[in-house]
Amino acid sequence: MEDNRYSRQLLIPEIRNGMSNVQNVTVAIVGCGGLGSLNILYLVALGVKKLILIDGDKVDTTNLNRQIIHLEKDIGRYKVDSAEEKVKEINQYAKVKKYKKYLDKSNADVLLQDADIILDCVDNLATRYLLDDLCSKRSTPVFFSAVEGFKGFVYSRKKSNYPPYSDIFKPANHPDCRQKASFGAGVGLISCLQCLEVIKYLTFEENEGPFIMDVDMKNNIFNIIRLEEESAL
Amino acid sequence: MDICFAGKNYLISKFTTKEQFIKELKQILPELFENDEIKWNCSFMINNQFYNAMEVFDALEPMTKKVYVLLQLAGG
Repeated sequence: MEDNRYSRQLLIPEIRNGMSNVQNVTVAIVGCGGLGSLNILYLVALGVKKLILIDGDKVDTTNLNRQIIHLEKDIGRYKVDSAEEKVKEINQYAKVKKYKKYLDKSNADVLLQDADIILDCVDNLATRYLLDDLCSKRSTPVFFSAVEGFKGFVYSRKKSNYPPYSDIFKPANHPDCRQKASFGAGVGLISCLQCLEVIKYLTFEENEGPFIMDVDMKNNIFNIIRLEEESAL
Repeated sequence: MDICFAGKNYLISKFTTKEQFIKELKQILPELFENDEIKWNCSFMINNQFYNAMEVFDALEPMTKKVYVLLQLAGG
């Protein structure tokens, strides 16, 4: 089975050339909900074999409209347990480190110490800024995404001289009390765009410069806002 | 001056006064406002620099041609 597993994607030169990167990288996915679901499934299917999954939440019925890695039978289970099970069903050789806790200042360094790249799949700004700060300090590539209704956002900070998230959205002294609307296909599209950026990072020899992908799904608009790299100090 | 939001461009008067800027912005993009004020989760990009609602007007210059507007999202 292993011989044939990747045969279709190995027809694509970039993926064929980058396959060793895919199989050797350790990817941390912070948040195993809507955005995390497809990232986990597609990265494992691609051949990523080392995952760090972080989420302190348990599956409930309100998750099932979009968090498609979790099924009815998983209600009440920790999301990382449910996700790990699906990972193993796709590839029994994949290795998963899972943490049944939320990322915070006290544990972020330790939980993410082995991560080569980090995916922000969270649904709160505090954790996003924490990841941004940590990845700045460690020069770890970090892939951000967010979605609300028909609007989505993807930003990949692949190099340390790309602008940090906190430059794009300055931390506000304002509690984010909004209830965020989301549905499966919308979350799925944005998480696939985020996953594609990870795949391109792992397999393309050259990366395009920094850009924000601002998606208006209602009007089918994919707005690319190009940014400048910061000059080396 | 162009205001670019969600991939669409909206024409707005050249740099005038803060009041005029806010009035025009509100007319073309009411969704950026809440209780008559620019939403806290708006970010404005001018010449590759980002500004929040409190800062954006001071960043505008007579030479400014384009302002990108982004809404910070947090769902997943």
